[in-house]
Amino acid sequence: MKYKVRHSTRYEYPEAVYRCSNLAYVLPRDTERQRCQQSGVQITPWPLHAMERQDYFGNRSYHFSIEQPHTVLEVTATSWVDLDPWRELPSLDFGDGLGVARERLRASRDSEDLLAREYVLDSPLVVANGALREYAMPSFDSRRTLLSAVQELTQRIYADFEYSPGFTDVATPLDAVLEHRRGVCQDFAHLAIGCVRAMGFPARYVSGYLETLPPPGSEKLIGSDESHAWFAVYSPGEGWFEFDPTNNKMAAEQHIITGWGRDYSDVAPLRGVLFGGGGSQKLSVSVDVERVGW
Amino acid sequence: MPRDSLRSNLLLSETTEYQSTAERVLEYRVASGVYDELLGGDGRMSSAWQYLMQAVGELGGEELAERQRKVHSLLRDDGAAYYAYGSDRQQPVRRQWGMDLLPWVIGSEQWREIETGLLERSELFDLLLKDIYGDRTLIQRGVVPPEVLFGHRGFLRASQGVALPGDHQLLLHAADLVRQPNGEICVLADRTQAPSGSGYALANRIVSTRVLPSTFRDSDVHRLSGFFQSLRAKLMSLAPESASPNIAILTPGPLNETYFEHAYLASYLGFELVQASDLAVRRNALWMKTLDGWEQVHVLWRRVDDDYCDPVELKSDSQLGVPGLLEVARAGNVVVVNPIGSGVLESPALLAYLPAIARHFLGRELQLPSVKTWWCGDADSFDHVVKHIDQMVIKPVFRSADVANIMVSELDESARADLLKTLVSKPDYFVAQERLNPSHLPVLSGAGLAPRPAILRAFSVASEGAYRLMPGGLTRVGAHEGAQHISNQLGSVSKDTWIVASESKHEGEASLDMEYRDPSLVDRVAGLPSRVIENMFWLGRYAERAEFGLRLTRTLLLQSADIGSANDTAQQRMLAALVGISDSSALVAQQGLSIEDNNREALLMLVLDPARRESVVGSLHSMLACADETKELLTFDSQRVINQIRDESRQLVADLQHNMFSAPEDVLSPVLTSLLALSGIFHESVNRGMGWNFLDLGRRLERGIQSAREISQMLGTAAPPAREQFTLESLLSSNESLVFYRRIYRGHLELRNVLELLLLDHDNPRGMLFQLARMEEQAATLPPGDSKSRELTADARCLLEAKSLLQLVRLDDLCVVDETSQQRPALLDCCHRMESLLSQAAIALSERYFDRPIQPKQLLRQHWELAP
Repeated sequence: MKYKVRHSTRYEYPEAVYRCSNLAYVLPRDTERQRCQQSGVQITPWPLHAMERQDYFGNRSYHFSIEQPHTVLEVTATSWVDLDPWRELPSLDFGDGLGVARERLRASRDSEDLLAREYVLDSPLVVANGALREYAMPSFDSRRTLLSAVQELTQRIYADFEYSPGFTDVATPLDAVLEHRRGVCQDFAHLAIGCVRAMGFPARYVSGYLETLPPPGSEKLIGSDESHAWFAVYSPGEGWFEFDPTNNKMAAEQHIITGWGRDYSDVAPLRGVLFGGGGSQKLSVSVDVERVGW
Repeated sequence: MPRDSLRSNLLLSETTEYQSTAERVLEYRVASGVYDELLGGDGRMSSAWQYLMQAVGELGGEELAERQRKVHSLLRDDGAAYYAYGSDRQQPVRRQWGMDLLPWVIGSEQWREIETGLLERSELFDLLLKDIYGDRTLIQRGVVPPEVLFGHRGFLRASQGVALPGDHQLLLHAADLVRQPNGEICVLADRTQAPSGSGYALANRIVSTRVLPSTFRDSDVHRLSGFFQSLRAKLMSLAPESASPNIAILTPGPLNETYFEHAYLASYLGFELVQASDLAVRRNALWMKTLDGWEQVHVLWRRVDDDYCDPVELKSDSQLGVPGLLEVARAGNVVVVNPIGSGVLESPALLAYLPAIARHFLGRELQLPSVKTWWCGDADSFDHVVKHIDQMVIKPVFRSADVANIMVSELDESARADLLKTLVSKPDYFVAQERLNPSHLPVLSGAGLAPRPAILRAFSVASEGAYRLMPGGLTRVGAHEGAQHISNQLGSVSKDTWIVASESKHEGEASLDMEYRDPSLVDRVAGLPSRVIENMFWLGRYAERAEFGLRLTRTLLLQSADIGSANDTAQQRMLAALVGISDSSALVAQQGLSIEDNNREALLMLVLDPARRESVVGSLHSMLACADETKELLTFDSQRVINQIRDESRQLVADLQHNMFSAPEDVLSPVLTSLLALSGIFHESVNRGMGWNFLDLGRRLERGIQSAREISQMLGTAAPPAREQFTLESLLSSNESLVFYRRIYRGHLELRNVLELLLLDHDNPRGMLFQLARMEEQAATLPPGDSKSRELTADARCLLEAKSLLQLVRLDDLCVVDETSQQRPALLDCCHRMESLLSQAAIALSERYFDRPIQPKQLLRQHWELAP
């Protein structure tokens, strides 16, 4: 599958911003199942410094700074990405039980297993606590496999929580999401990550996009007009598997990845510091994902 | 018996006279169960200590106490301080830095062993740092559990791949050492992000060479200057090849715990001292704002913690860092020392794995052991910790102000249960360490010596290809025998540390003898940050404002003491002037007071109120705050007077409560005298650079503004002749011009002459024309700025107009009284215009040279740093 992704962020300020320094995650990385063929970032006003780098997680970070007064900042990233066709997995119920997997993770000297343990730990926005543990528990019977448990968790989040834009923001704590059973894709991803970690397994946050207008006959997915988020879980010995709790499915050929990290704070699409700008700024984001080939 | 062994040791000395003195002085009783540094493991004083102890014996108790007092006063004059933060971290307490007269003496042979061990340790920590922000082999090979690294708040993922030029990444390393009862030295903790203490060690050294000069010389003590030269050379070498690399020390500011040291090292090494607001990232390089424009900074020695260095990529609400700094460092356009992220090495959890890490990287065990440490996140270690909990010290894996080290044996039952609960719920976040019994060494106590536990912070710096250790360090001693907590935050006292040669002299360093460089001698490569200059400007203004207000207050109180109601008018007018200076007219009205009523004391309390920034005492406090910000420009002598003013202002605040009105002279004169001394010292000893220009400009502007105001308050309205006499006298005496007047005009005070003296006399240093002439001179030397225009700047225009106004004035006109209003319209008009022109000039100068700093804001309000 070939996609063209256009991700545009626009800030309007009531007063002039004298200068600003920013960090963006808007360029798709290469992964096992996707390759970014071409991409570019266009920024107005013209940034005096702009540099693409590879970050700690292997994501493509984009650093830029603007040193001329401006009241509008616009960042537009355009990318062409190839996705591998979806390969049906063998049954998720097949394999080691949770207890075995947990013990393997603890005792393994395999470097992939060791490095994955980073994602069991609390991260800035996801702190595994008793409430998350309690919510996760029913799905994590020690006899079932990790992936089947996670699939059920994904399904339950989809069923129990209402997708409700505007109710939460970046700073909303996970407990509030859990209590009110409402949120957006970031919240659901964080929730799932917290649950998986509370059960002692590695989970990471995946940031990306969904196809905006699916081919006739298929359903338009939730969260397709903005940047989307889901999560991945690490099964010892098997690797990472992505689940999308907002749409109750495994991430597949419609899920384009920009990057991943411990949670949103590692891959926020745009962060930065500015001087000036006055009071409240106005933000608008648009995402357009177009299928351009097979 | 330890006591006897000391005595037997003293018998080694030759004269009986020495013996008796020594015995009287050295009431030294060795503490039990610990190693004693003076008497060693075998009860015999080592040769290293002999010179010192002989001198101690010869000096005798009284002389030693006298020298200890001198230590105290030298440190006070130096402004050596340490800010301790209470539990709320809101109100830091300024503590004078304390040093015990007697150094810790270590023989060079013994030191060599410590040195080898520490240099090896620095090399290991360097390898560790490179691995942590590189391939992380020690995780991938299972040497260190992943949680130890990944769960540590100091592990900054944004620092992955940022590399300094040269062999080493960890340029500065400090380690805290203690000697255990068996005589073995062990490392208690490491400091790696912004190790503090080397500046205090230097300050201690300078004091001890001055207080014990001959003993220091005879003992053949290793010098510290070589270490600082290496440090300086290393930092210089990091700058890209350019003619004059700019090196700056980034400090969080004057209220930081160790600000004294930041300013001290900046002066000593000739680096700029900067705060975040002095710096900006432009064109992906780091720049410092000076009066002449922006100057590039090539090397930044930061004393700001890792997390706070860059709000773009790290703690997003930090105001102590520079937005974009990390990206500039990544591009190699600035070198940040130590690299951002090196704080992770301070995790005590790493100590549990240090032997394995040493085997992994070096293939051998470390020569110098660390304190036995168990990471609670490891199940087996945790069991061990719980079983032996009473002998343990529990520490969090990341140091923070809110979580202290816990000595479990000091806890009661319920606190212990709470602690265990915490450990069970968050084992990854804690380590347990065995409790140490540090060796003891003698401190001066009363007329004798007493044993105290000691801890030594040693410093190493990466030099050409290898590390170099400071021969000495910062010794801190506990508050009492057997004390378990030794920390500056708890007010521990420090000591100099002498490494004494047991072999021949070390000639190599003879030329580096000068341990202290007077700041005014330092040749500065870059211009000063404009913040420093701005503070000089305000230092001048506040000093003048405080002086003016205090002198007026004194005049008021002295005159009211001996004369009756005849001077009511003069008094009321002085009060009015004081209300003006202290900006308190609104408050006066609000509290229902009035100048005419007889509530002088209430009014004065308001005018002086130390709690208000605008008050006369408030100006004094503001002046001291400006002096803190300009520390690196002030010479030793000015620093000494400023410290005196600080003490006197405290006394003044205390005296305000009771005896001021009975003895105003006693209360106000000391601080007034010091202010005068300061102005003299500034005049004599401040470098004639931009700092001086602005200091003097500030002073002159303020003096002009205040005297214009006072003249209009005192003389704007005519009074009956007898009362006018008092008014004129008060005006002259509060302007320190009464003596001058009598010498020139003799006899009676006449309005016309008074005005001539205060406004037009070229030779009166308190006169208006004198101020304007000086300002004109100073303003002529200011940098022109970007503008090539030939048009006068706003400040020059105001000053020129003020001067012309004065020169065109006719004294007879000024004296004319309007019959109906009883006012002197021409005088009032002249004074008001003068005040307004000078105020405008001050504003224009600020606008031309000093930016209002704009606080950085976050693009998104982010709170994610709060967790975990």
